Amino acid sequence: MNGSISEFLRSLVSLFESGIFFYAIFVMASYLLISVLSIATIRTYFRKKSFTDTDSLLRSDIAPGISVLAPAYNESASVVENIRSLLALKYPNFNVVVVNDGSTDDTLQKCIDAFDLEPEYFAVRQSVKTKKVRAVYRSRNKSFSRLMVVDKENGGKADALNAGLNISEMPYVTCIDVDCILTEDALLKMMKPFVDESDRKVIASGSVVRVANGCVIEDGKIIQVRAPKKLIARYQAMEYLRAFLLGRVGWTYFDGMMLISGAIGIFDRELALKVKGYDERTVGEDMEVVIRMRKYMMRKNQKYKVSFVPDPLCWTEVPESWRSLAKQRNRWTRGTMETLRMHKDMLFNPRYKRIGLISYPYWVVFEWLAPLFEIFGIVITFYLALFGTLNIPYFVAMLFMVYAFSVSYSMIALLIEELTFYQYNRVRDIVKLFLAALTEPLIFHPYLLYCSLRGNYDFLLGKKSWEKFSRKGFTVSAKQVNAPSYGKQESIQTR
Amino acid sequence: MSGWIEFYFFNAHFPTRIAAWLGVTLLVLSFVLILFIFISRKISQNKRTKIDRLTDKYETLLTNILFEESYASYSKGYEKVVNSITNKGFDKVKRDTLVHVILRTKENIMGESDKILTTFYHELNLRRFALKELRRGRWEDKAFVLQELGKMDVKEALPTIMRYTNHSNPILRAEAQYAAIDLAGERALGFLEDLKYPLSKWQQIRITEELEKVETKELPSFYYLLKESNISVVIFGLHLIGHFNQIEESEKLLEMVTHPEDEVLITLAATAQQLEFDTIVPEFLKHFSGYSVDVKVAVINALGSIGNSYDHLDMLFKLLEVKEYRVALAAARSIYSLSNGKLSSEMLQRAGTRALFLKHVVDERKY
Repeated sequence: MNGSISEFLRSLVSLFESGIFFYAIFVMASYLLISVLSIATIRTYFRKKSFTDTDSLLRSDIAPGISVLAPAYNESASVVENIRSLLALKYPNFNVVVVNDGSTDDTLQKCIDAFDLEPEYFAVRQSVKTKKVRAVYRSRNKSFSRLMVVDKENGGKADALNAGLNISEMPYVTCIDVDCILTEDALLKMMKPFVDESDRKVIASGSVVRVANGCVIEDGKIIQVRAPKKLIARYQAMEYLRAFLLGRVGWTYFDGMMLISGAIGIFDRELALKVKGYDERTVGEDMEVVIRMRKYMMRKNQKYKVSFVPDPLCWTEVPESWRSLAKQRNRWTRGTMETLRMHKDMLFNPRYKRIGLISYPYWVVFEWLAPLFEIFGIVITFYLALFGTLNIPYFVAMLFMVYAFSVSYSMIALLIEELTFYQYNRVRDIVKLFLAALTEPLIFHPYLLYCSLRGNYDFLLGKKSWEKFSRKGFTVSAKQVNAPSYGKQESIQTR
Repeated sequence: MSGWIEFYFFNAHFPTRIAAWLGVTLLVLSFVLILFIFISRKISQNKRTKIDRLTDKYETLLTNILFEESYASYSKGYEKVVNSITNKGFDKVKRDTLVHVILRTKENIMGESDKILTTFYHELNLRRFALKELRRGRWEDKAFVLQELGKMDVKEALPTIMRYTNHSNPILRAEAQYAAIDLAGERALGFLEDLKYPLSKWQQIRITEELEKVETKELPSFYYLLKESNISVVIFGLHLIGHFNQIEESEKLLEMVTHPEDEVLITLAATAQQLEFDTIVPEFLKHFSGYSVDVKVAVINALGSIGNSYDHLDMLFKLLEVKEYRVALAAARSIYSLSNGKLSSEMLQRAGTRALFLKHVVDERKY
């Protein structure tokens, strides 16, 4: 009897070992495949880019209008400078809609004073239901004619963006996230796909987001790109390089991208309204709205595309403390799970074509379940070690392989950055990032696993709060002067 | 140590060996990649330095040729410059740099200097390389050459360029179209007549820019494009008619009000507005009820500037009552516009519950 149990356990262990091996190979192969697609996409982009003079769009009288939607909550310290910076964007036909989401500080008063605002009559159409809009302000000064400040009751980021969607009368809207610095030509470059496509409708466009920590910033512009000083931010700089250069860009190869970063994205406003705007029920509203827009187009059998510009057009401040990082990643995990749950009908549903058959399952396996698999693997490994049944050489070899893959994958991202955008022009920054890549799998990755586990736990508990990490802000050496940030907001009850 | 290596790489069971070998390979690859990054950085820095040096040199030479008396065309100085460039022969970097410098300089000059620069380009026989590239280069090289040939007035290349105006590669096609207009002006527009592919908005913007360089009196009447089967060409034709204010044959626009494509009708309304062609209004109104919401909004917007308060205010007030928000809002805007930006209390009363819309549109900055 004992013999058959131990035989059974041995075969279980063997199955577990094989499972880990094939899973690791599968994950590595998938990542490599996506990075190959990314390289192909970036190569094509660069070949085309040399024939793109976006200034033609700047001079054109048929450039489509864009509203820049910037939600703000308790941002009195930076809101004025942020708005000034947004108003300085290069584009012929745009306005800036700042949505003061019931700030409890003097954010609104600061705007009123700085831009000479006055409330004006405004019929706000509730195409998407939002919390009550108290007033819409415009400037008496004609220099600020592009600016509109909306004062509304607090309802959360999605609600604020929806209010902006209701109020904007432009055909396109761009939603700017917290503490981001946009390059001056960001709107021009991001609008290019919308005017360039002739046989299908471009419904949204995103761009690469990079880490601004450590960079030299003056007057709202990145003057010199530097690797972050703090190791935790450096890890994230590497992570962003991989995620955007080797991840998202790759998905655009076959139009399979499901997420446009909340930090920067342009959307077809009419379509966004048709799908009822951002959903307040999720903290991953940026991903959720893209999926809904895609579903709408597929149900209507209309030809469409979600575009992505591989140029680094948006620079963001990342958390520099482990605690803040945990809050941010916890929210991202919950956002992903909420969105995946809301659209579970897409899983392997041929009606949704490549999104249902490839992108959605990929997100389930790699973005949601992968950290859980890893944690499960670690637990089982400890268990086996405890009972002396662990095949130690095998696990050492596996760990070594996974570690080496992680480092080499980071190096591929760094190489692509070097050969294409060449942002880190000091050798010492490359060395810093390389060293970060060497230690990242041992320090940063395990912590992310923990954050993901907490996110899963909080999701099961039904936690809905938008726990934003407290941002340090860009100070004299690195001053934040762009989009109004959506800072420390208290937990907001959503439906 | 060697025992470990022997075990992991040769004696362990298969998956362990695979993992060990893969791990080592990947780690070595990582170090190779970082090394490659540094080497490629060094190479590209050297290349950049060379290009910068050449750019400086060529810019100085061009400035001398264009602005210094002693380097005037066919002077000794000029010949010296030509010889100094051609004697040592061209490698690709040199040629590309020189062409880039010439094209950049050309953007900022006109008249006599422009002619000197073009002659200089031809004297150096740079077009020979360009034409060679056009025959066997990669598509991006070909596209650049098309730009070059267009800007440098290589007329002999026009027939070849025209062949590319209907090419399946959109960038090649677009560059050929711009180059053709550069070379032949309005006469090159023939490519629009049998264009197989749709013109994107981007192409429309760029072609319009190129056409702006042509003397307005030399531009053809674009009404012939309205008969095209390619919808994007029809839309572009309407855009050009409006942009260049071609009012002469505007009667032809009347036939367009029954066009089946919404986008054509929307552009038609905008064009009528640009031309202030009010004769079209009754035609539009005849078919108004059959139009889609988007077209209705465009027509109402046009009414705001080419309609008149006697004939159209009543209709606009009726439209103010309709359920469709965008139609009502457009009607409010047009009422406001036809009332010369003045809203009387009488009008607000007449609008009833929809007076909100009228109040809303008072500030034109909203749209």
